[in-house]
Formats: sequence, C-alpha cells, structure tokens
Amino acid sequence: MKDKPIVELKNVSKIYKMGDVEVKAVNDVSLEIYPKEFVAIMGASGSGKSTMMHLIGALDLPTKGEIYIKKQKLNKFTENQLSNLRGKTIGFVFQDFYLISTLTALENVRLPILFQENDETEEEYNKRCINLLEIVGLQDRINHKQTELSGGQQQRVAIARALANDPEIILGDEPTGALDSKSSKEIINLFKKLNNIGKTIIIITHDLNVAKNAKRIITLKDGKIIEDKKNKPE
Amino acid sequence: MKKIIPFVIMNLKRRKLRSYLTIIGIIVGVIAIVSLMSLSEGLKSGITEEFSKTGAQKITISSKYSMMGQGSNKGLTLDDVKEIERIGEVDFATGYLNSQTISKFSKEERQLSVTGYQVDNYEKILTQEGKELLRGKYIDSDKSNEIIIGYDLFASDEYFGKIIKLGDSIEISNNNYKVVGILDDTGNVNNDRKIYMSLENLREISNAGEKEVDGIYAFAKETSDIEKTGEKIEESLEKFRDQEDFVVTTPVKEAENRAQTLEAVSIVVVGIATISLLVGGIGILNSMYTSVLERRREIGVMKAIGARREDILGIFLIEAGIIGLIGGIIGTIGGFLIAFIVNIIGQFTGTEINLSFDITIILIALGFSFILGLIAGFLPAYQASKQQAIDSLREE
Repeated sequence: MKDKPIVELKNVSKIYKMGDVEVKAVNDVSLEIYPKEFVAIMGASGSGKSTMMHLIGALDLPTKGEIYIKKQKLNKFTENQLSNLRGKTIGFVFQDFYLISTLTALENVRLPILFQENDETEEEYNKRCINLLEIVGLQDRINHKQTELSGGQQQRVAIARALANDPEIILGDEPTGALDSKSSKEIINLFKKLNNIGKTIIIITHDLNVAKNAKRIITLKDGKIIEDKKNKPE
Repeated sequence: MKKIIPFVIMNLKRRKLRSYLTIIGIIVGVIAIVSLMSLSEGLKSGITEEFSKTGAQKITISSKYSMMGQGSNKGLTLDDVKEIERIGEVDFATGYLNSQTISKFSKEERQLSVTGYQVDNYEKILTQEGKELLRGKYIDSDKSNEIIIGYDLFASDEYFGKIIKLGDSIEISNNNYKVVGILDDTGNVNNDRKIYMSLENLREISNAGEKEVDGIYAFAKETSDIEKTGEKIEESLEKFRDQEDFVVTTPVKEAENRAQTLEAVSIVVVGIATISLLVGGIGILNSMYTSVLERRREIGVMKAIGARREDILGIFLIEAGIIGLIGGIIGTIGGFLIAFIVNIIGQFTGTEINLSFDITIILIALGFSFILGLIAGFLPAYQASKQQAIDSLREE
C-alpha cells in the first residue's frame, strides 16, 4: 500500500454548462488509488459517480485540477494518447456489457488487441484469449454469441475482454447493475480473484451490497467525497 | 491495420442485406462501364481489322456537295474516273451509284438497296470488297439488264416468300432484271441483302444525270503506298476540276474517322454509365452514414478499449472500400459477360466486334470502384473517428 499511486486526482473539478447554468459534477476532489487496491466508489444518482468513472478511466479530462495515471499527467494528453493509455492500462467493464452481438465470445475478447501493436502471433493471441475465457469460467462458451449467453456469462465475457491487454486497472461501471443476485455474486467473486492476482479494481456502484466487497469504500455526494474508509470485505 | 480487415468483413456480414444492396448499386454502374468500354474497344478494333481485311487498296472519292445533301449537280462524273485512272499508282477506278429501289419478285414487293458499278472491272471490284461469287457470272455489259444478288436473297425466303435462283427475273422500278450471279455469304447483312447491277442500268432507274456518279472507288496498285496514292488523286483531281469540291478517303483515314466517331459516342455513353456508378457511390455514402449512426455505442466502446481515431477511420474506410471493390469485381465479370453476349448477337447480325478482355479496363474498373468506395466512405468514417467515447457512453 506504500507504493506510488496508480491513479491520482488533485483538486479535480468537472463542470458542465447547461445553458447559463454551471453544474459541478465533480467538485474539487483529490484522491489517490494505489496498485492492487479494490476500491468501490459509491453514491446516489447524481452524486458524480459516472463523471468520476470517466475521469479515472481517462475517457474525459477535468475542467480544473490534475489527473495522473501511472504518474503520467493526463491534462495535456491528445485523444490518441488517451486511447493508447486506456488500451494498455485500463480494462472497462460496463453495466450493459457492450458486447458486439454478432461476434462470438472469443471474438469479443480479441477486440481490444486489434488496436494494440504487439509481437504476438495469431496463435499466441488466440491462446491467450481462450485462457482469459477459462479464467472467467467460460471455457465451454468460447464460440457462443451474445444471444446464446446469460447476463452473467455476458458480463464475464466483458471482464475477459477487459483483461485482453493485461491492464493494471479494471474499472467497473455498475458491473452488476443488470444482473440477478446470483450472477452479481459470481461477478464480484471474479473481481476479488482478479484483485488477488494483482489487478487494481475500481468499481462504481450505488449498491452497498456490492461496495461491501471492496477493501476501500469512497462515498460521493454532490460531486464531493464525503467519506473515504477502509473496509473489511465480506 | 492488417488485424482490422477480418473484423471489417465480419461487420459487413452482419448487415448482409444492406451490404448486398449497396454492392448492387456499384455492380450496376461497373457493369455498364465495363461492357460499354469493352464493346467500344472491340468495335474500334473490329473496324480497323475489317478495313485491313477488305478494301485495303480501295480509295473513296466523294463529292463535297453530295455529302452535304445538296444533290449531285456539281458532283463527280465519269470524266473524273478517267482522270483518276491516268495516275500511275492507280490500278483501276469505277464510278458508282447507290439507290433504294422497290423490287418485286414472286408478287412480293420489298425495298432493297441497289449498287451500280462500271462493268469493266466488275470481278475485281467485288473481290476487293471481299465479295466472292458463289454461283453464276459477273456483269460484263452496260445495258444487259443483268444483276448479281447478295447471299441472303438466295439463301432465305424471308424477303420475297421464295428464294431467288440463278436465271430468275426481278422487277426493279418497273424494269425486269435477270439474276446472273449470286454472292457468297459475307456475314454483313447490308452486303448480303444488296443487289448489284451495271452503272448504266442503275442510271436508267435513278435520278442521276448523264455521266454523273455518286462517288468513285479507285484501287491502288500497292497497298503500302495507299496514303501517297490518295494524295496523288487529290492533286490530280483538284487540277482537273479546278476546285477542291471533293473528299478523298483512304482505308486508313476511313478507319480512323469511324474509330473517332465511335470514340466520341463511347465517351458520351461511358460518361452516362459513370453517372450510374456515382449513384452507386452515393449508396455507399448513405449506407456508411447509417452504419455510423447505428454503431455509435460500438464506436464509443471501441474507443474506450483503446481504438485510436485512425483505427475507427480505417475500419469504416476499409468497409466502404471493400463494398466498392466487391461491387467492382462482380460488376467487371458481369460487364464482360454482357459484352460477350452482345458480341455473340453481333456476330449473328454481321457486326464485327473484336472483343478482348483488356487488363486496362479491368484495372480501371476495379481501381475506380475501390477509390469511389473510399471517397464515399470518407465522410462517414471521419465522422465516426471524431466521435468521443464519452459522448456515446453518456447517451445510455
């Protein structure tokens, strides 16, 4: 825990203009997240969770303040530099999975690697993606399409896809929001497993039952952090 | 970028119907261009070959006045023929008349084209024009009332309900003429349905005045000097007539003239066909715009997981390019197929088309359709590449 932060927000604000009115979705937030942490960012609807997720995920830049990911200051990054950083460092898991319906599970997992330069052969590359599907327990669903998978299975494919470029951070945006309780539990266990093998897990959720599984819970209200506490996972 | 191509093909497959319809737009345009281009090239080459095969020694002299449709008052005469025959390089010359006549045989009347030549060299004239005698003899007397008929009139009864044989009599413009010769099949409908008679016999039933001819054919002794012979005829006739009111056309010039006319026609026709290909391009543009709109979320996700602007641009551009290329390939095959069918029909109707599968046409068609795809796909692809990941994700 005494490493240097992998994600650092320094006095970050994100302000949206809606006509003449300025809305501070994130208001002067400072935050440090360290490697191998399992963090849940909680808050009610409108608390600024999604904006936080976009900022931490390098999908958006702040109006004020500074953001560092792996010690790189993102404020001046170009769009392509942000894409590169996301592709290599952050794996996204979305609430609605966002799989491409006509592709098989394996083809969906392969997708992020299309956009990265690497020396892997096609065979090595396939083997690695199949291995990722094994990690998430879908070794027998490799060639199934989205419509042939349950919600939980789809989210597991999405997690495998998030792992495709072996990123250090896994960022989940309400990853259990569209799942039943059994599937939610499976997904949370998967996140715990990934955390145990050294991934930094950041989950945005409004669900306390999900947040309770994290080692640290940050609570947002009106764009500000109102609580940042360690947690003993259930 | 190489890794993207299988992904792009998968994208095209998942919108099969739309991809097919868009490709059809390109196919139609390319078919039109390829078939017209290859037919026009084939026709040009056919004309050149036809001229080199037959009438290579034939030089045509026509009056400028008759060409301008002002009658033959100041036209060419048999005196001009004699003058031309004095030129050393000229083997022989003949005046000719052409007339559309009402011909009657076996109680049936038909309009047929009749040509009259001077009788001195009848065999040589017809032979030079690639017309061989199948049966009978050539015409050797001016007032003989003898005629030679084209092959079709002998071989088929579709004109008069009965075939015409040697010795039969045909009534042409109220005069009777005896069939003394039948020409062999030339494969050219115009020749094979014609009637040939002596110049003087035709003068009697046409409006031509004494000595007047519609034009003159001069036959050179040497094919290699044909252009030079043509120039000599021009010089000599200008001196003799005291004015340049005639046109001398050598086979080379005539082939060039016809090819030029054909070139102009083909430019217009291919131009029109290009418009249909451009419409196909607009089809790609439309399809790609729709695709970008439909796939906003997918583009957002791809950007979130590391796709750069150029990756997205590449995906959509390659997609549009592949649509163009597939349309180009199928269209090229279809175009050649249509040209091939037209060629076969042409052979039946006696039109000489030297069809060849020109690599230039293939490259032009494929290159053009691929580039058209890229151009049409560029704007939608650029729009997709500019899309911010966050905007698409926020829309949810």
